Amino acid sequence: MASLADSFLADLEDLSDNEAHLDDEEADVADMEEDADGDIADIEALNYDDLDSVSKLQKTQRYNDIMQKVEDALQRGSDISGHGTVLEDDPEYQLIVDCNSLSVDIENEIIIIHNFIRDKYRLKFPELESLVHHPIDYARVVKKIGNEMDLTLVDMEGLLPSAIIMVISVTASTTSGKPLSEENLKKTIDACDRALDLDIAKKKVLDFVESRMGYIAPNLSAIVGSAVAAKLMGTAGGLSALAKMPACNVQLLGAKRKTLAGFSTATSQFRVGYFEQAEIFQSTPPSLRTRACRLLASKSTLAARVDSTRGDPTGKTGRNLREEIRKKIEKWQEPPPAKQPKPLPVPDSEPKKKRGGRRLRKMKERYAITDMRKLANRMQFGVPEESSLGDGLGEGYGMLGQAGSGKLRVSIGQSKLAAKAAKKFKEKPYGSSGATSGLTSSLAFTPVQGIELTNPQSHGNLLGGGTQSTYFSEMGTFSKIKRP
Amino acid sequence: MSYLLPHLHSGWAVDQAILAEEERLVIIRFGHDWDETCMQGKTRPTRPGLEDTPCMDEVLASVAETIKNFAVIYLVDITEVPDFNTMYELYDPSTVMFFFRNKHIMIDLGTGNNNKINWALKDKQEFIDIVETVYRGARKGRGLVIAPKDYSTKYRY
Repeated sequence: MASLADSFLADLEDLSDNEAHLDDEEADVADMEEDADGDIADIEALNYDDLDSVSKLQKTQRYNDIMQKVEDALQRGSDISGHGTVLEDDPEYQLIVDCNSLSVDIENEIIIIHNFIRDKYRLKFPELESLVHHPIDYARVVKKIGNEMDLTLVDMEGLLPSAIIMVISVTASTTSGKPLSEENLKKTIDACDRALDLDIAKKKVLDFVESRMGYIAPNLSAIVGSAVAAKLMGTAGGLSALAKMPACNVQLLGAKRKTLAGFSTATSQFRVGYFEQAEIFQSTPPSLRTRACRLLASKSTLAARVDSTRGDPTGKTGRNLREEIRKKIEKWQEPPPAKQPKPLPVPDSEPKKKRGGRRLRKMKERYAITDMRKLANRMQFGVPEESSLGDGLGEGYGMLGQAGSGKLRVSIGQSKLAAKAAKKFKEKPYGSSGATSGLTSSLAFTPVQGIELTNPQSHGNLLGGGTQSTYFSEMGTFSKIKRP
Repeated sequence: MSYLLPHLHSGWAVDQAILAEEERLVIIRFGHDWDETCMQGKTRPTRPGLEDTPCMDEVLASVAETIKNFAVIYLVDITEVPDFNTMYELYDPSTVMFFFRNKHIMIDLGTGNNNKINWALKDKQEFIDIVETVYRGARKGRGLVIAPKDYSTKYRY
């Protein structure tokens, strides 16, 4: 008992020791967190209430400069006069290059803001982020719903497809979220506004680039059209970036990754991005669309490469490539050539292909004439054969079951293939390798003496494997005449 | 239909045609080429016993290209070339006979007359089968071959 109590006390001490350890560990963890705080300040920053510390782009000088220039250029309208062959010096070209990088930046910015909105809105409606994937759509929906708990009062027509609206309404009725505080709500709505502003700015930039597309990349726009070309360039981050991409990547630019809930996946185009909006693509029949997209992507990449080096400012290469593409697609749609009626070949002119080999031999074995049938087919000289109906009527039994052979039953005898295999085994010390089947018995019924004991093997080879003549055999009654 | 197949206009031409072919079977149709086609013959009144020939000609013409590697078909008008009428007993509207290397080949069709086909075979595939059987047998040197289908009940439909 005392020892037990002592052991309990000792246990208690251990526990306190553990607690001490735990305390130490907690302190360590706290230290780590403090260190980590410094490192992951950016991610931590998302938890800050201040939007401005997250989204700084709209405050930058660069952004405002470029937006200003874009507005001016759009106001001026397209101004395609001979700017000289050296493109890089042209200020407009520089602007376009800037626009490209800006559009990439805007996109990143939108993603950051989207994360911000999502984190804030999670308290209210956590399931929404998995239902609406696109950042701008998400921002619009959040703005529309606000702090509303009952979604039947919210009209989301035109923002989203009806199926998604339905799913959202259903999910909202069972959501675990709670309404946001006034301050949080205001910040969230601000963030949404900012995201939408950025989206509009991006559209402006893209429009501007598109209007200048014929000048920047004439060959590429000759193939796919200026809108798609502008989008491609914008997503790639510039003409030279687009030219450096392999064609398979270019094909996937702008491809939507996830199919939305409730939509059937049967109609979703696989591996098609911005090219889906190209005119050539729209005019091909659906069965050829995958091939056409691949072709388009490869030729557009070629055109982009020509454009990035300003190899052909007139756009002739682009037009040629477009013609090529068109011709190829037409060729694919041609019906197959008509079937010519062929005359029949001369009979027996082509010898039948006879096969050989082990497989065929085994197959033939199944239908080969058995020893029993061979015995039945032959007759001994001077000995009348027995027949099935007796008295010479019915099927004759030949040498089967005749006196002297001693057996009505004939053992199966070895097939040729089995003989080969048996030879192999003979060399191995496995003991007797006789081919008698286990069903042969040593008892035999003879008409003269009744039951007699015989060696089953001796009669299994009655025919000697077909090689020895049975006319002069020892056992046959011709050479040995039995006297009563 | 008969304009697609070559005609022989004299006894000498018939002999030459039979002698000329060394590798292929020679099929000769003895009869008349009338204007009626097989289809029209069903609606327009035809002379009894004479609607056989256009049908047979149609079958022969359609089959000629398919079997051209081992058989050649000729048409002979028996009013134009009466030389063979008694020799071959050509009293039917259409008679088809087979020759291989200047030898007449007999076919056991079950009708009792092994020398010729003296009615119109409607089925192309049947005719091709008969021609192939004749060709195989003739190449082996047989004078009489057995047709794959029995025509003893030909008149009973």
